[in-house]
Amino acid sequence: MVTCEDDLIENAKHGDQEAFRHLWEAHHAIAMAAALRLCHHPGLSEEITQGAFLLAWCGLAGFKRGRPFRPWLMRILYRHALDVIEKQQTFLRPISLDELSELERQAVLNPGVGIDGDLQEQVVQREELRQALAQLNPDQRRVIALRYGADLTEADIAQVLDWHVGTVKSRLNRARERLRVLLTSERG
Amino acid sequence: MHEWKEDSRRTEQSDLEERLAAYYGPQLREQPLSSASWEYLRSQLGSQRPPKRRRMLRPRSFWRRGKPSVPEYIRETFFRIAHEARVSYPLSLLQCSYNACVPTVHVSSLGKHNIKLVLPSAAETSISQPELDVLVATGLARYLCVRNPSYFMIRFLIAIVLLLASLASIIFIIQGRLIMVFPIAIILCTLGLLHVQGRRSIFRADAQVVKWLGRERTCRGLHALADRSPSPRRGKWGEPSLAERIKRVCGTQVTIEEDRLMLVR
Repeated sequence: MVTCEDDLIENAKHGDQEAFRHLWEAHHAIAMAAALRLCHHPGLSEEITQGAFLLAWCGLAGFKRGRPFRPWLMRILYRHALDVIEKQQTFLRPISLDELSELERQAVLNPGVGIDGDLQEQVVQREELRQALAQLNPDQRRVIALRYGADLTEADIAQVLDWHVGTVKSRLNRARERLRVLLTSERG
Repeated sequence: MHEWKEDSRRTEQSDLEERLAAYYGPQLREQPLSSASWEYLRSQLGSQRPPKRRRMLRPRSFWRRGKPSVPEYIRETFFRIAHEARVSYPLSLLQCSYNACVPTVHVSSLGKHNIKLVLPSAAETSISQPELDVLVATGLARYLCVRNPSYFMIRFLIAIVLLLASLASIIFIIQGRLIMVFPIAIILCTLGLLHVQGRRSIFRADAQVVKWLGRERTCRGLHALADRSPSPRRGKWGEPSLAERIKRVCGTQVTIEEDRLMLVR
């Protein structure tokens, strides 16, 4: 079935920026939310979102007609976000109180899922985890980010990172194991 | 002992899962960006490469190679005006050529490129933005007129009448009959009709351009085009002169209409 979005994609493929603007308007807010959840920095998440749309624009020629646009875009976004995070080493920056309170505000707006407990205690716990994540290797960080920061299944992660599902499973298990060891040794 | 170890491992695992989930936080609601973000992204987009397979299969690609495509500044103007006019047409409608002293726009209802901009060479530096805005908007407005079914039907009927009258006049001339005067008169009338219809459609398109760009912008663009033209008062067949168009768009008729509106208030 040919949808309106298919027409927009076809037009955008042939250089119609107005059609691409409609695609941007329909999907950028979701993409931005996903990027923000992964990197926790509003400025950087905007950069990631814009970068992902630029990549999508360049790659439209390879997009298959009739396929849904959003999963394709989100795969590009996740891959790009992980590259940017690794390049800028955002995991080395300590989490600020402002960022946490912003996340808390977001959680309040989403009833059912909230951040409970003392904010200071949460900052300490998050700092511990951030330091532990910084000690993982890049592949382990990628797989953890996609599993917990994007709620992707192992099969989806395999698609995004172009790995075998078995590789994803083993890297995820090793990353969890290493994190457990790091966090226990920190507490001990 | 073994069971205790397993339990502690499971607790640690669920604790880690919870901490990781808390670290990344819950799914966030949509985070809309400002329109300035789109403008910034748009400035970065550049041209789109056509799909490779199509490029290989296109039969005319060989001799077309090297011919100028639509340049970026015209592309940008086209999309901006289409956005202001709230019409969405593909860029493929537009074609540019560079061999004119005075920039003009030609519109046809047939063919692949329906709006043809004829610009002076080195147009990017020599043509002003109001001129380009008016040209592109006029092209789009005329294309809308041309696509109108009533316009098409009238043109079609006139063409049939013209054809029949021409045939009849040829036959009567060959036979040497005096009745040939009638088909010739019909031909002249239909040509006159075509002339009038062409002029009316251009005036209608100008009114549309005023709606889209505003009177001030349209006036500035038309004046800039007239300044360039060596004979702005000379019209073509089926087309009013620039001076006439300026008079209609910026001239006294508009003032009278505005005065009338003021009196009503």
